[in-house]
Amino acid sequence: MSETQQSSQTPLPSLPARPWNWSWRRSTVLLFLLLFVACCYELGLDLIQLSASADPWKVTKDLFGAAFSPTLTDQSPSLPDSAPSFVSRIGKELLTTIRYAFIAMSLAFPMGLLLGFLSSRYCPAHHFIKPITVLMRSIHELIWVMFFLAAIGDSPLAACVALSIPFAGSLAKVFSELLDEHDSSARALLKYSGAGALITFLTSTLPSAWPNLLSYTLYRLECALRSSAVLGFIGYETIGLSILRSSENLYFRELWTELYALIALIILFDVWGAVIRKRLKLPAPDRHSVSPRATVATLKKHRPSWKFLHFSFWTLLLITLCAWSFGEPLIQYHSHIPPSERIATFFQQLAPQPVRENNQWSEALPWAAQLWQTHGKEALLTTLTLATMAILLAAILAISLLPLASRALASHQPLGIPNHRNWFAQFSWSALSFLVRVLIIVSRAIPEYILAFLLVSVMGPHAWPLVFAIAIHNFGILGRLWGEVLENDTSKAPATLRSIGGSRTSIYLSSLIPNIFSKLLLFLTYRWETCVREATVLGMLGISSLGYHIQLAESALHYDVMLFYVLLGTISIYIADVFHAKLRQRLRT
Amino acid sequence: MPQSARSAFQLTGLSKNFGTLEALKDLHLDIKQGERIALIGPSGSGKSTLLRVLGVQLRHDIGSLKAGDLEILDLSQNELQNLRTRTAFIPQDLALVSALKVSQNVLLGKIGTRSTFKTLRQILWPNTNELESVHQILARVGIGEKLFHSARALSGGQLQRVAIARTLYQGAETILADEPVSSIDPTRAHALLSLLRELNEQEGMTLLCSLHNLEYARQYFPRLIGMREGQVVFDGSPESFSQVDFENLYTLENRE
Repeated sequence: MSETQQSSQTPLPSLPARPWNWSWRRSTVLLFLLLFVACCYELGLDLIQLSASADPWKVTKDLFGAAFSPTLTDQSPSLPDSAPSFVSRIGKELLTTIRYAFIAMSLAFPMGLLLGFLSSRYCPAHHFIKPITVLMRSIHELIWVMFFLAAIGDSPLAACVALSIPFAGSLAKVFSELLDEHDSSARALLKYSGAGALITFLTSTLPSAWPNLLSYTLYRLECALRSSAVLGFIGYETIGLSILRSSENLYFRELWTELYALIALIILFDVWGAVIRKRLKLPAPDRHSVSPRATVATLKKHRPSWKFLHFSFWTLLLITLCAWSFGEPLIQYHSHIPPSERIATFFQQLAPQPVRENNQWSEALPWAAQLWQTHGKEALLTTLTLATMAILLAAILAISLLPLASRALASHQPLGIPNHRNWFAQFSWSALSFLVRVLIIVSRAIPEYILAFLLVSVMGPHAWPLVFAIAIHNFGILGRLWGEVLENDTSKAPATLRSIGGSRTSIYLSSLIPNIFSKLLLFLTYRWETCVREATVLGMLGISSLGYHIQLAESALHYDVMLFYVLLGTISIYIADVFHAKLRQRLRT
Repeated sequence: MPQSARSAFQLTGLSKNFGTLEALKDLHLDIKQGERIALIGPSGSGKSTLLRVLGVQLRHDIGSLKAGDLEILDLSQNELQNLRTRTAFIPQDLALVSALKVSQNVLLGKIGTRSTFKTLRQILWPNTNELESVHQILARVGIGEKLFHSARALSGGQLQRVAIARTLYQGAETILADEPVSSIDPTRAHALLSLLRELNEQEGMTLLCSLHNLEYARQYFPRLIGMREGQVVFDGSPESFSQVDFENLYTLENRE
């Protein structure tokens, strides 16, 4: 029936008054556009700022040209014969990277579990515990490492404990949210039957939330590997150390071998985690047919189970035990000052200078106000601008490439609706989808710190390389998180719109995005928080975000000033966290 | 009923398998343009699969399926696209975009005939003519006042009317409805089926509707196709549907 036919048949009913076309989705997109323009204005559009004598294209060519010719031998001509081979050095550093990550996670997991419970609504004291977990995770792991180095020296265990603190904070946040959001009728029934709060938690809430808790822990393990690699940049013998040295010496072929090794390691754990996560969501297969009259022992022996999950559990446990048992001693102390004296001095130095010198707390506020006026305000603004620009770029990239990574859309039979048979189109879609998924995995595999370090050498020491580094890494993370949201959308509307001839792009923009918009926004704000932490720490590469001033203060042993800048970042993350929690609550109601 | 002598669909020896499960077995059917047909039968009998094969949401494995004079498996991409724009599908859950307004959902009916840009423009900034058209269609199905309401704010019965309005805006020649009244109360079910009958009689749309309720099928559809285990076991008018046919269709097998 055409529209004109329709008009001629019946008198036109009067159109209801058109409401003002306000929509919270449109307003959000508009706000992001305005923020994008404001950030561009603040950062300027001069993307390459090398010194006048440097040839940017030569640097780029040398660095990226070497990607096609990685080496398995040392490029340094001056190494003695007794020096270990390049491959064994890389192997050892990779093992150290894995070791530190596992030690950190073995500390963070029980700590996160406990704090998660204590900050969930099951614990009456959750209002007091929650701010502690916010503080733990709002400080970047590298800054925790700097604090620990200053307080107790460069022991590997100190670095691992430092890494475990923000991870435990993040695990606690996610664990408490999972526990809070779990609302099963089984729990209600148990409570109704007179079960106590603890036994209800242990027998109903925890087992139901357990697969999700493990899934998130596996993701954190992947993050721990990246952070462990970056420890090399502050002197620990992880893979980051070789990356730093090869880059400084312009041994780009070595550098690429090291990067490929790191990427392969992260992807290995990423894929392993994905396989485990997939099995955790599904019921275990029942491979044996057992007679209903079999004994309990037989039934137990042949119970449905995932062999791969057993294998993974024992392997992860074995690696953890090896990490604690083998390798260089975890506790080392190289200072001539006794540890207790060093710790005491460090804590004294944390007090603001006027308090330390004159014991006058009234002067602390003017002292802080002066720091805020001189560098604090500008550093915080730079940090927030870097983080905002990076997350917006990551979001633009992710939203554009997401349909190509989606198994449902990037297929010759989009949303399961068949097309005209065309083997070439089928192959092309599969290949394109595979390539985009690889791009997403590789983007999140490279730690943003290493990426920023490389981009600074190509583009010069200014804000944009940092923005691109955070954006690339977060594109990989958003690609994964948003991809899962897209794949898990159960609405039948997209398939039905496809069956009436809608194109992939039309369906994606007009049906899928509106349906999942609130979830996309939640992940975006969650990642923005992370971007602020990343933008803070990347300042250590010489760009005047908070991290630059933190490092400057640390190297001058002004721990009070260092703490001031760290707390500036923490406050902004705390505000972002409150906003995220409110938004989450609002979008769920 | 403006039934034409031309076939809307012709099925000859059509079968569809899912792995080892034979969902449709050797179907021979001739469905005329403008016909109003109820597909009846127990759960798992193949009604939904047949509707999805007719809507080219699934490809059959054996046999022939013609839409008009064209063999479905031989259609070019353009011909397939053209066929899709003329066929509307209303699944059980209605497949509306709950995050959009009623007007936007109806406008999506023409998604197959419009460019991505135009679709997006219509969703974001529909012009007065487009809104007038949508409003007129909504008024016809009885919910004109809901034009600017969010789909989330509507009741189940109102949402079904939005789904029908979308097919009207699409300008579809065929409506395939998969158990549209299975989850609503009898009053709303009668209202909806009356509306579908009215559209079939006034617009000449071909209507195939799977139903669980035999009384509705008998009351509103001049042709019943009974299916069991993927096969057609009855094809005729409600008057010719006997107790024996009922038992053939619905009696549970004695598994002992």
